[in-house]
Amino acid sequence: MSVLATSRNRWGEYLLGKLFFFCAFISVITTVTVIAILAVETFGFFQEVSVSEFLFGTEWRPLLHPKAYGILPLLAGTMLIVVGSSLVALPIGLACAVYLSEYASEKARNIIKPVLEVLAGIPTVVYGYFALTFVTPVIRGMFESTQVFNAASAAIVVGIMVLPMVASLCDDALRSVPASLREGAYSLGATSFEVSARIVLPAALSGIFAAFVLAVSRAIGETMAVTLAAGATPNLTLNPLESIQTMTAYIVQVSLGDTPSGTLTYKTLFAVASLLFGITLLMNLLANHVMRKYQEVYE
Amino acid sequence: MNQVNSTILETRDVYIKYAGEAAVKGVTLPIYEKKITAIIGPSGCGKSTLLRSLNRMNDFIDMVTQEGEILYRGTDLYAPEVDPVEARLRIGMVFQRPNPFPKSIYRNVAWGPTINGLEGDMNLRVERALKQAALWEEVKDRLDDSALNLSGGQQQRLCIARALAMEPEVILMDEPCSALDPVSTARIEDLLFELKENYTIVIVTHNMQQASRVSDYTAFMESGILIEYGDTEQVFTRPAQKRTEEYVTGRFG
Ligand SMILES: Nc1ncnc2c1ncn2[C@@H]1O[C@H](COP(=O)(O)OP(=O)(O)OP(=O)(O)O)[C@@H](O)[C@H]1O
Ligand SMILES: [Mg+2]
Repeated sequence: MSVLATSRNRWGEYLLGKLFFFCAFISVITTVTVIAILAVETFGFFQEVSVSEFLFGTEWRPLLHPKAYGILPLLAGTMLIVVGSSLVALPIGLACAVYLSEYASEKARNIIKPVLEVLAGIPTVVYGYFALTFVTPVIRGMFESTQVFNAASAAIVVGIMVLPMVASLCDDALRSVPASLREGAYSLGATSFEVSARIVLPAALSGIFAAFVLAVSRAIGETMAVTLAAGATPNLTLNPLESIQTMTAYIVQVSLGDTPSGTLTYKTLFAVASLLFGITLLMNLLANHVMRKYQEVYE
Repeated sequence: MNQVNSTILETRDVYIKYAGEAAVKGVTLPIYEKKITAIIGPSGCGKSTLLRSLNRMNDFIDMVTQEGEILYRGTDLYAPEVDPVEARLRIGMVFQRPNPFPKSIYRNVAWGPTINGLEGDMNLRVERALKQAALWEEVKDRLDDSALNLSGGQQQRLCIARALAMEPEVILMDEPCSALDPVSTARIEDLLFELKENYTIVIVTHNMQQASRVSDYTAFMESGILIEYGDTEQVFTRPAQKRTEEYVTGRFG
């Protein structure tokens, strides 16, 4: 009897194992397929446009004549959003996390944490609308030359959008620093500020870095709010008061139109997507590398 | 007990409560200068809680409330005008588990003096502290190594050195040897004898041999109450309370 029961268990386990393998297999296959399609279409694109024109061209005009396929305007637009939103989200998010983990009483935490979660749950369209109706008028009040659609407004709302995530992840990283380290520092006559700035922050650095990378990835990927607030003007500029277009915003713009598949315009989608994919991949690799380095130091 | 001792720290009828639950009940205890005072008692009797109140480490636990007075050289440690950071400069602490910072050996020892802007040659200060903690010979050639690469016993001596580098008057030690092997324990006990020359030490310990060997005075607690306090020899050989005798002999086995 007991022998039978054991073997039945093993059967169940065997099937479960197969099931899990199947799930893992599907996700691997999906990823491989996506990469393969990206690669094929991108290759097709570069049959018609040279790599150097794509990477170094300063004009992006794939829909109008005369056509131009320089990615730099889209890259610059993406950079503006990423840098601008990082300037908003990273310092404020980190400060917020330091407050939550090192200074806030249990009561204050119990109020602020849920508020952050609500902020994180607001649909991104709402942020875009908020940018158009509130942030943009404020900026235009300060700088008259500001265009109706502008990068600054988009960057600010994307920053506000990712801020809760940064705060929450950094808070987790800070709280995972053992209390015994804090007590050791306090017992040497340190103030709360010295403890958080010189003991807790350095010890939590890898987690904080991971939070930053995730925030930047989200800023790169954000589309809806950016399109609403920054418009759709491929524009090689570093002036945040002008209208721009980001890589993801371009992809959405073209996908929504009725571009016949197989055309060059259709293939630009894949070239842009490949570049986006490459950038994100590089960032993740970098994040992994840095984190592993710090983990060795702090374990 | 009727020698010429000066009291450096003193608790007067101290009650300490966690969310209303008393962990220390009416403890009145003098701590004499340049002596070693041991606090013994069964697990959960409030030894750590009492010890932590002596340098205001309980401030960091939200639900702790405290009554009674704790005097440091005659002034109330908990008076509103007292800066707890200042108090901890004079009353250092070594914890049950070694808790070195994830920094180099040198920076661990230099950290406290640096942030507090203590005067003098830092290299000398670090060397002196490491020598006092009997660690210098083992680490003098690798001061820039991470402190986390040291053994548990070395880490604990590093934590003692870290406390000594601040040149406090009092050092509170909460079971400093509980995570250590007998050899490391013996080294730290030797160390305590030397430190007594210059420092006042309060040590919580579960090890009766240790308490009887190293301390001058012993306090025995049970369920938050100070059952007996006196000269170590008297407490261990001629305890006044029956409970003390039972505990001490029971623990000696
Ligand atoms: N942070 C805390 N929150 C709530 N209760 C606590 C806390 N720390 C200690 N206590 C309670 O206070 C009482 C005394 O604890 P304390 O740590 O002072 O005992 P101890 O004598 O040091 O014990 P041990 O020898 O095991 O270290 C215990 O009943 C414990 O449960
Ligand atoms: Mg304890």
